[in-house]
Amino acid sequence: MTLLETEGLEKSFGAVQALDHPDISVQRGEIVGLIGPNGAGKSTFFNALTGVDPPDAGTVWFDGEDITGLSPDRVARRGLVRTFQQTREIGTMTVIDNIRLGGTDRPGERTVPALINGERTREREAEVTTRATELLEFFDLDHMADSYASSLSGGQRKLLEIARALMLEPELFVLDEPLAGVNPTLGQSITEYIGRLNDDGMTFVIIEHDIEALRGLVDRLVVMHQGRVLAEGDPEDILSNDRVVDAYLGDMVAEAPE
Amino acid sequence: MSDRLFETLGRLRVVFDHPGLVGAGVFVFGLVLLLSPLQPEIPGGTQAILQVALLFLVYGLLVTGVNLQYGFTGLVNFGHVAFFAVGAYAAGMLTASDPFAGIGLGLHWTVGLLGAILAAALLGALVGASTLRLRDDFLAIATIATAEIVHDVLIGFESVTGGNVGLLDISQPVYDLANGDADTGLIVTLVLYLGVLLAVFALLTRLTSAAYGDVLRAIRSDELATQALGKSVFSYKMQVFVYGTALAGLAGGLWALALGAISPGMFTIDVTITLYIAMYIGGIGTHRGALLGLFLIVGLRLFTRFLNGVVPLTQTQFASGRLVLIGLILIFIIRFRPQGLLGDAKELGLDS
Repeated sequence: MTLLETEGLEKSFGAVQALDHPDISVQRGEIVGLIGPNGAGKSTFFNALTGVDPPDAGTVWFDGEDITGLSPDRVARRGLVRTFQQTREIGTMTVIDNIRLGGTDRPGERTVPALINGERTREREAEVTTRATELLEFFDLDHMADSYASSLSGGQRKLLEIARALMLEPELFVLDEPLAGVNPTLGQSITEYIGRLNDDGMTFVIIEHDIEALRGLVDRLVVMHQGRVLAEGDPEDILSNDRVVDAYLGDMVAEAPE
Repeated sequence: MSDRLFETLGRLRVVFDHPGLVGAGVFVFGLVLLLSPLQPEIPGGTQAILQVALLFLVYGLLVTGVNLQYGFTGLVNFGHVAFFAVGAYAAGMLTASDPFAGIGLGLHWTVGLLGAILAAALLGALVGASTLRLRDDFLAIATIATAEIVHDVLIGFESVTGGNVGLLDISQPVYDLANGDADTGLIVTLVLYLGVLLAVFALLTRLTSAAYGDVLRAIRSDELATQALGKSVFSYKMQVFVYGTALAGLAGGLWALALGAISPGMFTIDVTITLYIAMYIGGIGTHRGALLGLFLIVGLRLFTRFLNGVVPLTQTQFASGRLVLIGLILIFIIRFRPQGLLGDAKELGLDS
């Protein structure tokens, strides 16, 4: 069953056509890896999906509904949740408060229940805190719970952002380079955790440069190049495809010093 | 010095920890005082202090409102005085029976106060709806423009607003109930308004310490991240903007109903500037900080008023001297304690 489908997306920045009909569909329960050289349009594609930067043309279908151009908060509330390549932690709030911010259905976020602060409001806040604490423990951030998020390292910020987004219990979770800057051991447990969430029914689209990390994780790889889908299919087939190697892996070799 | 300041504030904690209860108590006390046959007299020299206290209480409502907008949510409202003015004039026009030049409907003061809140909130909703989806700077520009337009309208539309003279004979319910006794009227007004300010303080504290406040702080820090977490940022910004402007309307209404006469000179950009200086001195994004900052500025005003006459300076020299002093204080605060007296540097992202 198709959860996400894009049709004829276009987006240009000046003379650069960042999206040129990358028609991609994602089945419910899949983990899709999205790879491609820098500037291939991967992040632009995510921005178009999530309403952060709506496409010039084309349609995004999510769970059978047209969500093109909806504001990011609406998209998120529908169950399509994302993380950012450049992490967007709230540095001026503590780590635990950052995670709690992802909590959904909180009466305390509305004026009147916030003022009354009745039993239901307090109960829900307690639930949100419990869940946030669980996630912190899993992501090995619990010792940082009361530190300001601005004091986290780059890798920890990645984790924080994933944990925070998970508070929304996404149906489709799109991750923009979740492993960049995360140490290999932790990266390993993140990929394992993604696998477990996937077993529980969560669908993923993951932009990632670490091909090795994706290899064992994803069901399908989509390769983007110059705003289009260059190739897609089984990871092993894709990674032995000459065109992909030319467009992407060649690029990786050039980038190797990084 | 600051230790002693905090110690003193510490003793005031009872008030700040239960502002709602204390506020209600104060309010009831004011009513009892009003209905009692007691006619307190104000000793000669203290009249000026009490006038300034009234200013503090009314501006207190303004500063808590603009602090909710700017301090908590990051909405730059440089025209807060416009909503204050609209509130005052709404109350004035609705309740004045013989306003001299402008409109005076002679309605009951409750209608006036309600009208003051609604008119300011409505103007706030209009300005907010047209600018809050845009970048921050547009709100700043739009609010400055609003303040200028409102001020020009107050002066220009003489048949409606009374022009430069303003409105006279506005209903003064507290003075009426005090049988026209000016001293009792002023004292009771102060007590009642203190109750209102404490109640507002209590409500806002409750609001911002709930999950609601976390969303506001998140918006101040990163709108897009907050949106990506499913929060309707625009809706929050609208709410906060309208709450702040409604509070300014309340402040304006209370101001007009206390003074009985208002004029455009009371609603210049100086008011807005005072509010911002108060926030910066006291601490952006804390309700107590904003009030403390305001208290210090207003206190300074009073202090220099007393110095006036003791020191051989003319009235004008004094007025400019005070501004210079406030400017210096502001520079020192921003240089040495950028989060303000009670602000949290980490929460404001100033520690890095």
